[in-house]
Amino acid sequence: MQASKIEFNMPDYIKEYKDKYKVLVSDKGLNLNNFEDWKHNKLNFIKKNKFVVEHIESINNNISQSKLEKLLLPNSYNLIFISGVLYSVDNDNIANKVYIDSINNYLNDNYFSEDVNSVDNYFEAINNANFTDGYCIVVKENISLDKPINIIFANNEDDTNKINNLKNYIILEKNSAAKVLINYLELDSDKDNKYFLNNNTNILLAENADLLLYKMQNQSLGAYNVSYFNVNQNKNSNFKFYNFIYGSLFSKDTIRINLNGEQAFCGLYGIISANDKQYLDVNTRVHHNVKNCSSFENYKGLADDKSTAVFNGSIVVKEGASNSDARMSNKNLLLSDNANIYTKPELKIYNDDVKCSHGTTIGSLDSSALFYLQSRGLSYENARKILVDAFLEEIVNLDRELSVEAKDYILSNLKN
Amino acid sequence: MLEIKNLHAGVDSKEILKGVDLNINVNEVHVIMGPNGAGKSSLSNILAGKEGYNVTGGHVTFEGKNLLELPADERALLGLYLSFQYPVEIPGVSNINFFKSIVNAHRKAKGQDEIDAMPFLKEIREKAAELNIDEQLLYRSVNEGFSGGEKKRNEILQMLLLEPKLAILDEIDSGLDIDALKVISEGVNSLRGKTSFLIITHYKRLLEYIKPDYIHVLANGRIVKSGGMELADELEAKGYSWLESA
Repeated sequence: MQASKIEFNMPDYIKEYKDKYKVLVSDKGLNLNNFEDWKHNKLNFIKKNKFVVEHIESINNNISQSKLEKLLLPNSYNLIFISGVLYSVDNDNIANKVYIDSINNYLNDNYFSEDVNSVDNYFEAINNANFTDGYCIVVKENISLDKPINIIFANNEDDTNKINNLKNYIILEKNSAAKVLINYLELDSDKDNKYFLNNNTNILLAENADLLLYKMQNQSLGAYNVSYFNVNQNKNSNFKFYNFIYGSLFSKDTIRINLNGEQAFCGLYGIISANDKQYLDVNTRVHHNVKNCSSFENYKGLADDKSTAVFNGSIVVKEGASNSDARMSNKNLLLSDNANIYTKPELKIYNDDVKCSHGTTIGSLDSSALFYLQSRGLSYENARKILVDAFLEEIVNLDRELSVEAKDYILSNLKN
Repeated sequence: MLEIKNLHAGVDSKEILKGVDLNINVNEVHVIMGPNGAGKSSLSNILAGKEGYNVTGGHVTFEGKNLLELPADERALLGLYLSFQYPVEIPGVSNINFFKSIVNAHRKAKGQDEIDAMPFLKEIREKAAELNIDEQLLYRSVNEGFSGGEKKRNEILQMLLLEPKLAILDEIDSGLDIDALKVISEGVNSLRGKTSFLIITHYKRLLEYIKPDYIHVLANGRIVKSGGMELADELEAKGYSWLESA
């Protein structure tokens, strides 16, 4: 695998696209109070911290090869981004199966022609105006990809006070299948680098396509993160997304799913684990736009110290979407007196012939279980860890489709 | 080994133990009987270190240490074991992993290495079989969905694995049929000579299988009478009221 910075020339139509959004951004200004989904957040952090949008020209070449090599997942297609720029990619001789490259190399103006007014979101507008890089994955028709795709976004001191805007596409053509892992991490894990990551990912699943996605967010405790996932699913497609959020000081994920074809299924699973002063927030929005689709959500939240964990799950079943099956579960544990958990399920159901359910709980560790474990000689910390692990077990016990190797890789990349 | 002297304790403003005195030496089997509400379970909970109780007077020494100053886990590592009257269910924590964790915690405290997986599994299976515990239960979550009898046998299984210096059995016989009673008693008796026992019970029946050295009656927060097997017979014939006025 060649490790060197990838050069790119931005095509004109991308430049025009971005210019349209630059105008929009300057008009919209900074008033986020208008956006319902940002109600809980402290919005001054952008002004206060003065993040700079900067186009990265070159990456620090002093990054050690051995450090990078440790990040790789064997037997997979690895992509490494450093400071938001594509650094290396395993894409030799695979063009007949899958296209994996920087978005700047994927020349398809279909994806860059959307109407500027369709974006009602400040961060998406900033992203469209200023993205510098990102990945583009296109899995070809009828291909069930043999190896997982492992994407690493690594940050370091060079990113201090900067905004990285990344725009990504995952496109699965008809009858294709793939497994994708996305890792956010620091090259120097002992520093609390302060930077802002604005990440926008569009996922298109054609008929019968099958995508298994894992995201491990383990960034520095000084990092700010805003992620948007916009997923459009066609007939009979399957999307399963395991989302593990452990790092960063502030993180807000918005996951929008449009079930546009019958028999489509989406499963959204995740763990939000907040410590210290972290604010970690996930907003899922599942739209059943046609009949006979099913969706399932299972998120678990933990909040310790003075942290905050937030889960807002919204399900919309359109009028014509009969026989929809939509389930949502969000269970949360408060581990300290000063921790906060917010959870809000929201169901808008415009059809009578549906099965929808939601269950949300907030609790603390069972004190009699804690005492039982301690009465056998286990320390309080040990007993607590056992009970927290038991709480998270059903989500951590990852999908059977993933290899043991990949599972170990994921679990070791997570803080716990 | 265990010395309880003039122990006064209660919950909030209500005093439950009103001056308990008890000495248990090595290799002794003591039984505590008494009317409901006398404070028997409170005594065992206080000895084990359960939070929520206020100790207002007296002291407890175990193995030369001031027991009440230690957190629950350290008491266990010193050699104290409590078999709960109502063992709690812990979903998501496998029984067998739990056994491994607690055995290793004890071994670590003694400066020993962690136990080898294969011989340990064999030991668990053998002891479970002796207690007529279905092997399937070993792989379930701790006590989850266990019947009352299965929970009590699970408590004894843990006791056999940990080989404590002092085992407090809080109503180990409640809800057991004769067969379960026999099997549990065999388990308890197998540790005689190594472990001392403080057994809380209402019924004489258990004492036919586990022969006690001393029987005490706890009433109104104090031990009001002590004796041998003849005391158990007297209680069975007369009940507790004749003692409560004492």
